[in-house]
Amino acid sequence: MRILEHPVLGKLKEKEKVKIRVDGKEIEAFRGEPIAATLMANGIKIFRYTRKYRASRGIFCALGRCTDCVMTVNGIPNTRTCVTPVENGMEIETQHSLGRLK
Amino acid sequence: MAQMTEETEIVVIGAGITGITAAYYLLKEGKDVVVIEKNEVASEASGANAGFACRPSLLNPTLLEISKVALQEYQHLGQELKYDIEYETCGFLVLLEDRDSLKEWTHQVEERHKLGLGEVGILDPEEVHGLEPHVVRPEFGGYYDPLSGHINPLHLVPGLAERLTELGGKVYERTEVLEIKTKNQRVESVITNKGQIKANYIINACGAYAGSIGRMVGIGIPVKPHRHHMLVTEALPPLVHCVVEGGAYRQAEVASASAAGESKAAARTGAAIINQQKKGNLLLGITGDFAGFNKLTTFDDICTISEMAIKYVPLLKDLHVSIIRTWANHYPSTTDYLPILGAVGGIEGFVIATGLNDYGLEVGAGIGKVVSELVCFGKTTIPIESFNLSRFH
Amino acid sequence: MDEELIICRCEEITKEEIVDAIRKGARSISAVKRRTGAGKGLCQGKSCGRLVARILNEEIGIPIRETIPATYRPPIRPIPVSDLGGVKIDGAND
Repeated sequence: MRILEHPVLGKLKEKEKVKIRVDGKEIEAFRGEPIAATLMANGIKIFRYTRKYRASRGIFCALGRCTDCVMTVNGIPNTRTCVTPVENGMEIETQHSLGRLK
Repeated sequence: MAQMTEETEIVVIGAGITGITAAYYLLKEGKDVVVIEKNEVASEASGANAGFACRPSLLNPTLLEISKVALQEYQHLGQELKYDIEYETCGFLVLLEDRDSLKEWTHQVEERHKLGLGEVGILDPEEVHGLEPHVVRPEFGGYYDPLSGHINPLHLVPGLAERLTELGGKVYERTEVLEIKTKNQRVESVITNKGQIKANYIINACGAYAGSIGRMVGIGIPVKPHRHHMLVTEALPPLVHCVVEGGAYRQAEVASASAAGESKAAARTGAAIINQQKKGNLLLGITGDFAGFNKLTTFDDICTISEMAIKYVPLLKDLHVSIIRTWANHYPSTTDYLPILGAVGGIEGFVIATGLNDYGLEVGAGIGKVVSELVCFGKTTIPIESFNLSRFH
Repeated sequence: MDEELIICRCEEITKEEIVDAIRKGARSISAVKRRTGAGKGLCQGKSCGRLVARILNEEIGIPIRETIPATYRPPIRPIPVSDLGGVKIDGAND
């Protein structure tokens, strides 16, 4: 996720800040980082609730394979947040089950 | 593992919907049954289809009777089995996009009314839109059958196979029939890669593979594998209610192309088929071609189906709906689009039950029942003579 | 206690359901998939496939290396329908 000081790569370079909204609340992010990194850095660990058992899910594999981390991004459900970079103005919603048709 | 030597009353070859339902009804009549399957239960057409239990695919009164039995059976099997077979009469809708289609389907409605299917009818474009708001409004309305439905064959067939073993039947998977032995013009036993099984009856329920079994007793069974492609999307909230068909799917053309031995390209058919499963995934289809026993998907077919799906349900594009799975498998196609069913002259005890083309689920349990009647009583409540293999000779 | 462990995370299928399917005749990953739905979710069995193989081994002793995998099918990961609609690439099928 967001690594501020890496033992080999050194300090995280300052990148341009962008603003995204998560469940209506505005949050600052570094442009281009995975959505999941922004959320984790802001203490948001629950990304969605499953369909059957309404269990909470967040990061699991963190490499775009397991689909545990999916959220509804800009209205599109089942978006893998660990491999999707943030963009300014992104609307991110905690996904409940399959999401909603708008 | 030691080679088995077994003896039973009836061997059923093929654990698809036909074989498994036939075995089930035979067991209910108190018979001893062993089902032999080269691959796995429901691993062929019965496990790779669109799940349609629509009626009728063709205007054949006998098949209609058989499908009525099948659909009734699904209702009560649904209660008996541990798995939710997801049988729902969601309705079948054909989008009419030109005057010719409207004319043809209006005629179909008349014919279907004559066969007693009073519920089917033509809807105007507004009514179609009301039924399926996310489907593109068809200019000339739609053909609608409220009593057609869909089912989950992956729960039905394996679930029924489990029930078979509870009833005392046996199902041997990954067991291939290598030879069939006859004696005095009667079946005697099957030789498999895992041993020998003696039986009084052998039921060939091998779908697209029925021909190879027929050759073992020296007969030609004209069933050809027709490859069909389908796509599965991610699970979505309710979007499409009915089984929706757009474009011009003419299975009869497929049959005649097969008969004429036309080239792969010429025999390629397709139409848009859109259906949402209970779980929320959309099943998208369908293209068809004759490619032998090749089950590989082609990029072209996947793109063609994608294009058709977006044409009829534009929301798929707006919502960036993703495909998560594709497949291709075989339907057993016959040149006259009718099943091949019944006993074979000169080989007592050998029963054929194949050639269900693309309407296998629609008639499946009914075919199984009819086959069990044939074996148990020597005659069937629904006359099946018109489907006998002898019509090809 | 183990039984409630979620094996297929996408479809939320428990170990108990998978064991049950195996005890009733499922002998491969595909067979388990047909009966339980494990492997039909968004990740298409990437997470649970190997776990199901292990359970098959525990239950009926099929060596992991002999476990028949589920059929590999495109796409490797979810791809939007609209990205494929109407695309034509020469030689794509070769």
